[in-house]
Amino acid sequence: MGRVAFIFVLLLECMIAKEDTALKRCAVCHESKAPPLSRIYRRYLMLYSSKERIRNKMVDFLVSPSLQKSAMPLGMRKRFNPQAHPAYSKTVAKEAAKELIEKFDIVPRIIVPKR
Amino acid sequence: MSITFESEKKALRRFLALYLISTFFLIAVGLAIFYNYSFHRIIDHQNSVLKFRTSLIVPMLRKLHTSIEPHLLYPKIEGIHTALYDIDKNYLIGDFKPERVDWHREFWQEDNMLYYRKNLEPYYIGAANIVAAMPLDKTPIIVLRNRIILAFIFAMLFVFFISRWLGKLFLAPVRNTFELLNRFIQDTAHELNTPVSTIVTNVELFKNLYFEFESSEELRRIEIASKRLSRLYDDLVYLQLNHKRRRKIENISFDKLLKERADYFASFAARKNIELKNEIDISVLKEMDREDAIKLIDNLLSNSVKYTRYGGKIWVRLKKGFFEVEDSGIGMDKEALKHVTKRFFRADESVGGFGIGLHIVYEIVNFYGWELDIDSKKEVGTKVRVIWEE
Repeated sequence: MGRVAFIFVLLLECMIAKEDTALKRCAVCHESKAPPLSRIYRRYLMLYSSKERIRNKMVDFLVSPSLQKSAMPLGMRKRFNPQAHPAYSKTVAKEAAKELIEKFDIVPRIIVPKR
Repeated sequence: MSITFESEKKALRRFLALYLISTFFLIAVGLAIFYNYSFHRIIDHQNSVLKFRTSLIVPMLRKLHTSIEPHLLYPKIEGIHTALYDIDKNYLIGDFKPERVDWHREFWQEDNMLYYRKNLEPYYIGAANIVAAMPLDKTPIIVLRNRIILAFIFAMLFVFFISRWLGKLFLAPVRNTFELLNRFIQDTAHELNTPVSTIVTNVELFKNLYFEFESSEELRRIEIASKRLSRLYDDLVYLQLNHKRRRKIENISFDKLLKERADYFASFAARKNIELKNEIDISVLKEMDREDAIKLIDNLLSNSVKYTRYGGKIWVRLKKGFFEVEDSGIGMDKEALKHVTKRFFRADESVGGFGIGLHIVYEIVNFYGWELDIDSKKEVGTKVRVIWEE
């Protein structure tokens, strides 16, 4: 019984760790030397509008980062050099994009005043 | 004046009705076009108000997009509702959610609401489309509708008065002609009275004084001619005073009167060798004015004698529910039959007269609520039947 409980707790921890991993990995740089993730999300939001399109564009960039694929303004691209951005597997990139959208989405924060 | 010009009035009424109906349609079409144009102008104006108010939301969305506040307030524009959609037309947020969005049109109208759709760029907070709605303000449309109805009524009234004025203007010469004719007949009748009375009285006197001339053919011709003149005078006076005369309604033995008048006309018929046959089999009492009864019978018999050729036949019949005078005269065609009861209408101008005999008959029959049935065939004869209810 003790073994079963141990395995269950281990699996759960692994799952939680996996959820946080992708975005945490991004946050390492984007909280210090790269543009903040919230600003990146808003930039993507302003350019691509729908979550589906934002996700696709982000994954595309994360899988093979390049200057052309970067959505950031020219000044920022020159300053932060997107070619140097590490590349990720498609799975990790998808996960990171999903977490980013969920975390920084603006719409759920907007309150519609009642008439 | 007793003489009227009904056919001219009827023609004029028809013309005016046609004029009014065509003007009605013209004005209606004109006003409908104007209403349509003005209605669209009102809608366009309200659409531009909606468009302007919608444009105010863009800087507010920009502010939302850049805000770092944990809670944001959806921008509200006075008088309109807005809903935001992403580029894939997914509903994002708004203070209303339209049931249907026409993605192909900029403006549309549904259930008294005006809708406006606009593409947004850049996509602040992800909004690529905005749909705004505003209730349709019906007040200017109602005001416009009321004004158009009023304008229509005034226009129609104006046209109606113009048409009346035109009618009177066009009818004036006809009226003058009829008045002249009426005055002429009045004067002629007046001038006829004295000489005709003198001739009739003197012929009688002459016959009483000189018995040897009693059977004189010349004297008989004078007597017949003067009687014809006298009857013509009576008809003209009857026509002139028809509406002013007071009728004395009494019980009249119609069969006796008919026999009497038939006997009176027998002498006229005999002059043309016309056989006048009486088929008066029953006794009929009628409640009517005696003069009317005499005019009715005399005019029918006089016409028959006048329009029957030498050696012809006339039948006078009195049956249950009607009396009729039939002749083997010159008859009339169908076209003449339509107008035969009109005043001054004469189917055959070769014989003398004013064309008032059958009109008098028609007036009398109408006055007593009876029915006049005229059947005629050219060159065969005419049958005039006066039908009454028993």
